[in-house]
Amino acid sequence: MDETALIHSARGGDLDAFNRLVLAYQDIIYNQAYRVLGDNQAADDATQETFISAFHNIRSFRGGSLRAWLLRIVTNTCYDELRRRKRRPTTPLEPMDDTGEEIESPRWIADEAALPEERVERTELRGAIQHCLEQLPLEFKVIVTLIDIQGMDYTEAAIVIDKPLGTVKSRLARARGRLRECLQDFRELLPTAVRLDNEA
Amino acid sequence: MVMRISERDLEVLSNYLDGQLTTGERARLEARLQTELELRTVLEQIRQTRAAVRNLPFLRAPRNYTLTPKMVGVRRQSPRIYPGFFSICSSSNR
Repeated sequence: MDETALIHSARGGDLDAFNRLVLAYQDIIYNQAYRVLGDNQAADDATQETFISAFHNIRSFRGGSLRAWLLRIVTNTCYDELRRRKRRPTTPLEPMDDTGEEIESPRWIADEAALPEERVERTELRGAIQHCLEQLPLEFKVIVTLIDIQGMDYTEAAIVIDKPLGTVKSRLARARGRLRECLQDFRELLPTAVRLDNEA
Repeated sequence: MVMRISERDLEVLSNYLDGQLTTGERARLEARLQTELELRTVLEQIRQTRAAVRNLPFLRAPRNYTLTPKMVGVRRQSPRIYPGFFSICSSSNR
């Protein structure tokens, strides 16, 4: 069954059809939640919440890109979660990497002199990038994640955030500008771990 | 040291990297890049930044997020029970 047929069945309340859509999109939605929220548990909750909300609201989906529609829901879910955190702030004991492992001596809190060159690993660069992403204002974080991680084009990203193309361009530029400043603290990690080949 | 540039230039550089400039805007920027070292340096830094973010691994969901009827408050359709079924059963048991 193709996506349109699955959506049609899901609109009629067919949970099995909807679950096939869940399986097709869960990686995309989890990624977005993780990159915006910065921790596995919150991303897990946001992903589940997104699909529950999508099921209840599938009748309001008017066609077009289901990916964009789901990303819009997860983005709103992340906004809600971050607003909730602001009201009740908590501090994690240790930052985690992409796999949920605690990062020992992360670069941004470690004594630089205590880090021998050989311990500069790929996970550290990922941690640094995630750290810099987390420093961004939410609307910047969302747009850079949609375009540079999800690989959306500007028009699709504008649909997700429900703003004009000009807003997408300006937020993306400012996000990249702030990331550039933040990553300057980790610039020794960049040349070895980042391939610049095939870049525009 | 982080070089400072205007927000307008930052946007032009970001758009340039993503191929979002018109032919005229692109030509104007490329002419400036020939002579402005600072602009060239920032362009390279933004290019590296963009590449670093794009190199983040695309994570797989740690589990399946399929929904159960209970999670969404719906009941699975149970087999239809036809009127008269119980009376037939009870009469056959007599």
